Amino acid sequence: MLSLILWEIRRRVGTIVGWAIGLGAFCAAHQLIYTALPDEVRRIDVRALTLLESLGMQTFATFEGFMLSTALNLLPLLTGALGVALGVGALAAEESDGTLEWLASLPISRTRLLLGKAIAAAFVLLAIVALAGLITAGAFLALSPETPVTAADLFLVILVNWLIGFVFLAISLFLGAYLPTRGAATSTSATALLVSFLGNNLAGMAPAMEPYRTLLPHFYFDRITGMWTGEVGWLDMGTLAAIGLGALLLAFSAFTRRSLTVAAWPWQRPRPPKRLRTIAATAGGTSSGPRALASTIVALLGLALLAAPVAAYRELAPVVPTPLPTLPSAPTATPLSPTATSAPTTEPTAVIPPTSTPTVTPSPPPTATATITPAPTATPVTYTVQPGDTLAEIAQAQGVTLEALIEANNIEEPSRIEVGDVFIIPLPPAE
Amino acid sequence: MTPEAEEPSAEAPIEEPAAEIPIAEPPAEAPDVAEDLVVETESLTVYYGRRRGIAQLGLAVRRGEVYGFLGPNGAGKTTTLRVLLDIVRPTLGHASIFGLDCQRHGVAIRRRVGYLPGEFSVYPKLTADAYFNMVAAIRGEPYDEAYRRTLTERLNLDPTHPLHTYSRGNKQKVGLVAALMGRPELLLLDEPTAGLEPLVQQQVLALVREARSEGRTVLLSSHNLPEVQAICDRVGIIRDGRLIAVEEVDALVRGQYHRLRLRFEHLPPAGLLEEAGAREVGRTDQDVMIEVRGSLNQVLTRAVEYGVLDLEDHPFTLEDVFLAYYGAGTIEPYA
Repeated sequence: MLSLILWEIRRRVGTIVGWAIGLGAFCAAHQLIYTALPDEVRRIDVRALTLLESLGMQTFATFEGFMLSTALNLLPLLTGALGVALGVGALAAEESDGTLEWLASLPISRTRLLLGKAIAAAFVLLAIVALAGLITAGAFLALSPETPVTAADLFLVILVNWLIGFVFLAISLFLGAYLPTRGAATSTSATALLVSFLGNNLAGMAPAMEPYRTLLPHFYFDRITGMWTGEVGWLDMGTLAAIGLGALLLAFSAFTRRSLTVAAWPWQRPRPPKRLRTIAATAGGTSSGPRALASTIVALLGLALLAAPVAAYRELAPVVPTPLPTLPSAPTATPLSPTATSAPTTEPTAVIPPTSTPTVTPSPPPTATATITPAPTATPVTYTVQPGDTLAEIAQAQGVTLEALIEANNIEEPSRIEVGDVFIIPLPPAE
Repeated sequence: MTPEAEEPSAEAPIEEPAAEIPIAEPPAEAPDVAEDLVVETESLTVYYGRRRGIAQLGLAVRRGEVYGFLGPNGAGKTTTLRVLLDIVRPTLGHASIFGLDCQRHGVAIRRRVGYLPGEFSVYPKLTADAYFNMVAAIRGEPYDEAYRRTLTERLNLDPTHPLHTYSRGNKQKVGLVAALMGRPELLLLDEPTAGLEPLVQQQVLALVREARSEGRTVLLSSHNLPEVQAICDRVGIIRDGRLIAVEEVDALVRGQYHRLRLRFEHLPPAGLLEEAGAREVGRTDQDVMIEVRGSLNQVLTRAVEYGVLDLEDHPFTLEDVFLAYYGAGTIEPYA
């Protein structure tokens, strides 16, 4: 098996070099961009721009925030795509190309064949991510932007992307082992990746969707990057590893049980007409009973693996949908955990890194932001219209002028407001 | 027609109503000690969904023979070979090699088997040499470097180029060398000469013969009749997934039958040669085509009375065998 692993790795040296340079350059370029960023851009309140927030951006004000909003935000998507490419390439592509038939004719068991391929692909992924991290850390040292994080931190936060890549490697290995063609495996794996990445960002904005986020690998990954501030999300790492290993288990189950080179969907797989099956059973031929039992057990195991995180989440962090609280005005307090602001819990829990507790006290930002604070647009204290409210009463109760309220919310017909409308209450004018 | 007596399962599929076949077959495996079988399948059936791959196939390949697996495209030859290597799983029935179950002891079996896939695909960036090294490494056994070089030379293959620069024929040669170089006990060759130029084809046939002379066993599939005729000891004819006949090639082709075209000065009356033991199969105003089983003496003695101007031998070929089994028009002998 060792020779198979070595051969699989050697075959992909080009992939390693190409992807490592690509990802490294991607991160390095963003560091360069940050150092050249004008103050106006740094001052942009990304969270006020829903579109940008939905893309996972947090702040441009600090180096960590900027990197997490841009390069490090997209890196798990790119690493996931790399995982998909490696996973599909290892099985489905070889089956479509015809080389798998020949590999399977060698004296190596199906289990070892898949294990060798999985290990090799995981190693290739690791090599790529590590090299990209080294390139990025090198660029960091050369540019030395103003930030408390170190080059080693940056390297680690890139290295941890291996986990998300591994999860999608395992998922696409499973889909490649289960589905008949390269195309089917690629499209389903890529869809899973996009749903996970975009779904996590979008569901983060809707508290009702919160429990479903726990189905998405990127949810756990996002929380791992919280370790940049010192909290290491071991539980989340463990969850991701478990998802990956679970998918790998399914891949083994699918790959060792089916016929290869037969481009058939599961429901088209070899099954004799009923007539022949009953005859075979009476004649003492192969019985399908134990097999069916085994496959049911494997399927249940897979489901349990998927359901476990949902259950765990519900126990650890009951979601209490409350009206939006005041957003923290200090950007440094939030960038590492998008969950906290979008789905506020009443109290900090074990799963959510403590840094994410919404606070109103602005912790003093170390850099340029200190002189720029606070832009009035970034203070959305809100009020939801109750039955019987009028604009004037609201303004009076909130201690602002009616004009300010109308202006802040762009209300065109002040006499017509609806129950349930949400208004932003502007800050009282500075003395 | 001796082989049929030894192969009850090969005969069974000819009967049409499929439902009645399996009941008659005893489930007990009684290994035939008298016959040293290398490959043995019993009521092997593979369905692809509702589509049938092979049905009730009973194959028996003896140690040290070259067995030709003959049939048109899509008859189930490749499927059978894939089941033997545990690439495709049978729907019903089972297959064994060296007395070991193909599914349960796949690794042990494949260690002793060399396989040439019908559609041999390669990793494009490798050179053939690197490819051979990889095969040897994965097989995990020492192999004879000199023999490999001999093989590449005999097949006229330059192994130093990347595989994607090779033509279809050259790729086929790479696959052949990979299958042969470990001198495996059993060779499974799926259309080994397809796409090769005639001289190399001859070399391949020679290599197969050498394997047999070393006591190794060869199972090759083909739809190339002259080739099967030239090297095989026995042929199994497969049609629509069923093995419909197993014949000794010698008995079938070189043995008792003669087919002659006689040109006469005066055409003998119809039926006259048949009295002498010939069967008249065709006639023009000068020629008579006859088939003779056994001695030619009587027939020829009768024929010379009418002044034989010319005599042509039209030996029986497997194509005729094919026609006999398949009926005219359903074969594509030279693809």
